[in-house]
Amino acid sequence: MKAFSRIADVADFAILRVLPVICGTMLVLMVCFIAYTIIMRTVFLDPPFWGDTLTLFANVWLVFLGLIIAVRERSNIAMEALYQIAPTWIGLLLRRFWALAFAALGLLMLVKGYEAAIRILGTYWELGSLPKTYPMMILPVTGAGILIASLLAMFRPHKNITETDDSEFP
Amino acid sequence: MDVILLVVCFVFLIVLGAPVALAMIMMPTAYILFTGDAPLLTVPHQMYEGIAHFPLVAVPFFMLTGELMNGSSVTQRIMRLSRVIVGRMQGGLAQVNIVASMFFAGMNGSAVADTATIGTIMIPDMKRKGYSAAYAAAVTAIGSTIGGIIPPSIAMIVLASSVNLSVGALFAGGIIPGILIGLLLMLIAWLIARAKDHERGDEPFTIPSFLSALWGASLALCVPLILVVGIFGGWFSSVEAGAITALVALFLGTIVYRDLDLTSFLGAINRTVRMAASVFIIIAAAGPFTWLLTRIGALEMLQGWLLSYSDTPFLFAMLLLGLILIAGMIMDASANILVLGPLLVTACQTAGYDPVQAALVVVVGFLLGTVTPPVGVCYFTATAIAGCRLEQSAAALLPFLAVEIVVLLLMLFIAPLTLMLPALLGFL
Repeated sequence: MKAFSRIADVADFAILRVLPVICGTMLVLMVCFIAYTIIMRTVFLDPPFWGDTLTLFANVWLVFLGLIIAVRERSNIAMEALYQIAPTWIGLLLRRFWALAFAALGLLMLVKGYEAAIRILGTYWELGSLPKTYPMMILPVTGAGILIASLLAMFRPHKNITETDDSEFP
Repeated sequence: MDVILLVVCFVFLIVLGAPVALAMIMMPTAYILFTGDAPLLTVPHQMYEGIAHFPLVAVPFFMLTGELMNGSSVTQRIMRLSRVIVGRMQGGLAQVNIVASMFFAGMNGSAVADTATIGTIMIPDMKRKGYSAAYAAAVTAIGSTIGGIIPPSIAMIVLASSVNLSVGALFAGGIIPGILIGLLLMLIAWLIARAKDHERGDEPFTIPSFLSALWGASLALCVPLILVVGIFGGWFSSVEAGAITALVALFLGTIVYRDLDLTSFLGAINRTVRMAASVFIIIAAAGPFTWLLTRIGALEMLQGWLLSYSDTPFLFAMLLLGLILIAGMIMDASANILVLGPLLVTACQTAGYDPVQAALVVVVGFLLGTVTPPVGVCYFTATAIAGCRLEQSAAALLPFLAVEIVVLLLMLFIAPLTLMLPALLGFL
């Protein structure tokens, strides 16, 4: 039991502390790539051909990794008016059910997302013939993350372990 | 039959409180599992394809700009300017709320972000001055819809990327309707203030105080100016404009005003990541959901039904409006814009409307969905900040909603309202 709790602590730390840092870094890098592209185009008349593609991939990875955080924090947009009327246990039951459904989605993305990624053909010439498979590998990565995050959301309510204000992200 | 089953199941899931994105993904997954019509990898593949659009990169940039502005003293400076301009009117704080929303609209482009930013400052203030909590929530929520209409607008970027329209054209077209909505909301707030004898602000309007407030906010007001000159002048794309405004906001906060410290900066980045994730999960989910709707012919059917009334422009417009409002009530705005937006724009185009005009009607209409119960994110946020009951704020919203519906009708019937500026700026 103690070992499980420790693993859950590590997973929570990775999702709630490490992932935001990675995503934040990507966001800053995206701004830098675009700024660099503008400067090179307007000042030196030599825009980098890789700038837009790299920014696009950074955005895709940022938002997919962000989904893991959203699942863990239960910050997805939902109409929860029913929970105000229904008895508390129904609300709790439904929330667990949605967490379970997210776990199933995670599994789907892990298995089928991997399949989709390895089946994609072609390369990006602007990124040194990078196979199109690589950027798409975010699908199984996100799948694994969502699976873990939703299991954590089911068994460890988020508010007990962080001080994030949920009202900011209804 | 398939379509009816799909709609019933979807509405049932939403009413049960399923996250909107999850409900949208569950539908195609269940369809594929039951029918075996397509491989299951279609779902993750469509999710990826839904997000991998370059124009969407602008969305986190504009969110970041708004967050950086909030992290520094820009918010206070704009609030002060709004107070000086309209604070002395009867119902002054409601007017300040709406004017501040119009200023913020030119900076971050997200209705939800506007609700959270302005609501946290204005709602407690309004309650202290004797406004009902429900009224304060209603004014904040409705004012925030302007955030999605006056450029930059995240909703317009999302729609433009899915129907291949110029983001600049939509931005230009949104200016007049956005300002018109703001002015009409101010008129309604003034009429209500007179009827209910609301307060007058204590901030006097004098030329020196106005100039001082304007000077204080002048650099912050440069952000929309950069956008207007940059995008409309053809200097840079909407994505580049997003990155530049974020850099300008960072420059203002750290170098000019010197009140954006490292903690506030990291907080802004953190909130942007979370906000972007909650918007993009719906964009991702819209991929497989739209695939399913196309597969079972639902979109084609809806378009055919709408176009069967295209000979009677008034009836067509009413049905279009009704459809937008009903869809806005049951589905999130971004989901609606992605799933139904392209269909409605195409239908309007076939019925003789200009695509830019149609796209703007769709955007404004679906943004109304953010303040209409039961699925209205801004409405929920403002009500939660005000601490009143949902039905109370819903009742207080009614006169303001009526105004926005009137503007929507004007946008449909008076084309220059939406097309004049894009034409003047050379987008049409």
